[in-house]
Amino acid sequence: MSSPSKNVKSEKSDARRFFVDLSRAFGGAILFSFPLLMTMEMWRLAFYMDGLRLALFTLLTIPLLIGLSYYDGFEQTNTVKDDVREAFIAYAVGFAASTLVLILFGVITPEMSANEIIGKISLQAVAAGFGAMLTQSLLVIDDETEKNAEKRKRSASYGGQLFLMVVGAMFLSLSVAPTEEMVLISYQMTYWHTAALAGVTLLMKYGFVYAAKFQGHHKVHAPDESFLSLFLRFTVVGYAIVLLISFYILWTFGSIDGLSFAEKLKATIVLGFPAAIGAAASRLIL
Amino acid sequence: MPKEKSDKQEQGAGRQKNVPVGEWIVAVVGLILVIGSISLTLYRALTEESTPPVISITVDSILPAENGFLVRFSVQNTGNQTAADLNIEGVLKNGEEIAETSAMTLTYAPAHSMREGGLFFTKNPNELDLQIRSTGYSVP
Repeated sequence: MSSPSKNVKSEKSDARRFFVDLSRAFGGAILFSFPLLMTMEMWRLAFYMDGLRLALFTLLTIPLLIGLSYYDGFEQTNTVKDDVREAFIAYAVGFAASTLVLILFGVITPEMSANEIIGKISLQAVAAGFGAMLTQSLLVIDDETEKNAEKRKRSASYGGQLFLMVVGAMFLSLSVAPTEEMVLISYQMTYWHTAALAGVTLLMKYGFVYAAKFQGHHKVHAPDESFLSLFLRFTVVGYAIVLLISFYILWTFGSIDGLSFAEKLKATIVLGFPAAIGAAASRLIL
Repeated sequence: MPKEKSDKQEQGAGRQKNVPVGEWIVAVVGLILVIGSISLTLYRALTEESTPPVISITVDSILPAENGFLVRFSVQNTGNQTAADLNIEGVLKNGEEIAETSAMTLTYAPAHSMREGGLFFTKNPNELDLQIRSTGYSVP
């Protein structure tokens, strides 16, 4: 495609294409992260959340972004090196988008300490970075790229499917996780409510898997795979992943610090509700 | 995560990609931001002891307001811990006698940061002895 005579021209169009991709990623970053950018708990978390937890949160984002780039990046990628580069570009775009919006909202002001400002931005940059990466599926323009991403997602191995579930769970639960309502809802619920919610969540999750089976989305399992196998391999394992992610996010934000184990579990199941929808619908929303 | 070889090749044939320099620059910026924010938070987390908030309040200005006066002040927290619901009380004294008190609550006084606020008085703070202090906070 890039013969020497066309080299200069294609270089130019590559740069232009990159600029377009970058603008699109910027839009995607804001599209996905605006609920969090407009959530006051997120602004406050930056100055009272544990530094180690914030560092870990940022660190864990990178492998997730790299994996996501493989399945669904905002650019077509061919090698691991490409995926790594895309991941850092997504983070940079997320960081820039968060900075801009937080300044516009007056959340960041000059009299704040550098620590507070960077904390506020880097916490938001995680969600915004995901948004930048997910742009490809949110604002699709190129049919070919979309087809490729679809093919990869559909042909994803079992491990790959679980990975997409992880990202889907994070994607949907992040936007509500930092709010006080998560813990408040769990305070309002009795253990009966909690058990019922867990049951409904599981059922809903199975419904998604079942529907996907009919549409032939899952290439991993045989079409005649039994109910039990499907339920165990996708629904139950998926729900376990969802609960782990919910717990991790609540722990990261410090929402469940100091609660008894049973109360922690309740809050985890509450956040598990949106997380499970995200995991189940991961191939629809990612 | 597993990668399908055939899928990769198929894609590679579709379009030979020249990576623009700008793309690398943005990626390196991203890398610096990741390393920078992680190391800053880690540094603060590991080096700072969790000492309680240290609150100092300075009066910035006293202005006439409707039905009285406004005392504008800034609250500086030099401690390592954030104070939530910081109660601030201003007292106007005439010698030993308390002439007037006003109070407000600051939602957050983050560690190593400054916040601003104001207290209203009916009597003129310029003619009396004005004292502003914080009376309590909660841990966020």
